[in-house]
Amino acid sequence: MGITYKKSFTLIETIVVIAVIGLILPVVFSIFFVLLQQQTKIYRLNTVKKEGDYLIGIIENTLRNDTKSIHSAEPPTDSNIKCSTENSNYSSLTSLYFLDKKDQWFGYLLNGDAIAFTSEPTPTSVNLNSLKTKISGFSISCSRNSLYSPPSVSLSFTIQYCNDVACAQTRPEEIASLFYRTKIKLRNY
Amino acid sequence: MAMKKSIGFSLIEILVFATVLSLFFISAVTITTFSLRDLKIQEHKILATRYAEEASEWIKQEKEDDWQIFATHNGDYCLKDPIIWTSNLCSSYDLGTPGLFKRDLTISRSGDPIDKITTVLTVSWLENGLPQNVVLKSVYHLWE
Repeated sequence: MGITYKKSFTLIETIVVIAVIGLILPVVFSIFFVLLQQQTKIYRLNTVKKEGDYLIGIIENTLRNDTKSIHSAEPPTDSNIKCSTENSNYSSLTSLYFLDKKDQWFGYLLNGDAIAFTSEPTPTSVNLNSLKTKISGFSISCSRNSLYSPPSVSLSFTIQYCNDVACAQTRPEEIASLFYRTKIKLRNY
Repeated sequence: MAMKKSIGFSLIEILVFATVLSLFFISAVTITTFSLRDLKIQEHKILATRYAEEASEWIKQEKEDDWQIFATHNGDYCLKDPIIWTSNLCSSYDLGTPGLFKRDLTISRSGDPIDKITTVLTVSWLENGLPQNVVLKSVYHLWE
């Protein structure tokens, strides 16, 4: 009786196959990982831009069309009126209040990490940006050059994507942050 | 004694399998690479749009501050950060962090005295050596 050989892979064949798989899999997974990372980045940037545009848009519209006078505190009185005289200006890092055409006041203020809206009918302030974003470097100011032209309100802030993970990021390519600055002339002053 | 038929894959079978597998891998990697490049362009486009809008807001502010001074500007400008009037188009991509963009402004005026100003803002950047840009056109009138 002869010796029977069992048909199977040799050690060398097995090693070669494992080596090839070992080369291909990391490449495929690293490409996939970079793709996911990039998608997260776009998502963050998009969220930041969307919320920043919304903030600028809503503040610009209400101020440009509705504002009758500017005040440093609420409720607005003659004593806290700002930027009503020639060459006057006022700047704040927290809040500014306005009187609208119906003589009701409204205002924008920095509420922790968010920009908030407050008004006479709804005195509890409402945050205008979500918990996903954080506002820093908020500044709101007004100025008037002459009595013949209405005053302008300047607004600037930096909005940054911020959840539990993203807030702690320090590498510049991981941070999604945009700077917004605008100046609004009050048309109905 | 009968010939024992060997069991296992033939060369042809292995070749066909290897070809199908490699085609699949190559196409998957190509699609992923292309979509990665698109995502990168998209990211830069979001930033470029923001830079263009920022400059547009600044121009609007210049216009509302003083039309007479605003109307003295004509031709090409490079708007760096912080934005000031700098004549001639930008020579290098140095806007933003990291500096990837440049922001050019071209102004043309009409009317005597000037009552209409057209501005074309172009934020451009290089994507794999190829220029990409976002263009924002605005028209400003003396009375509005």
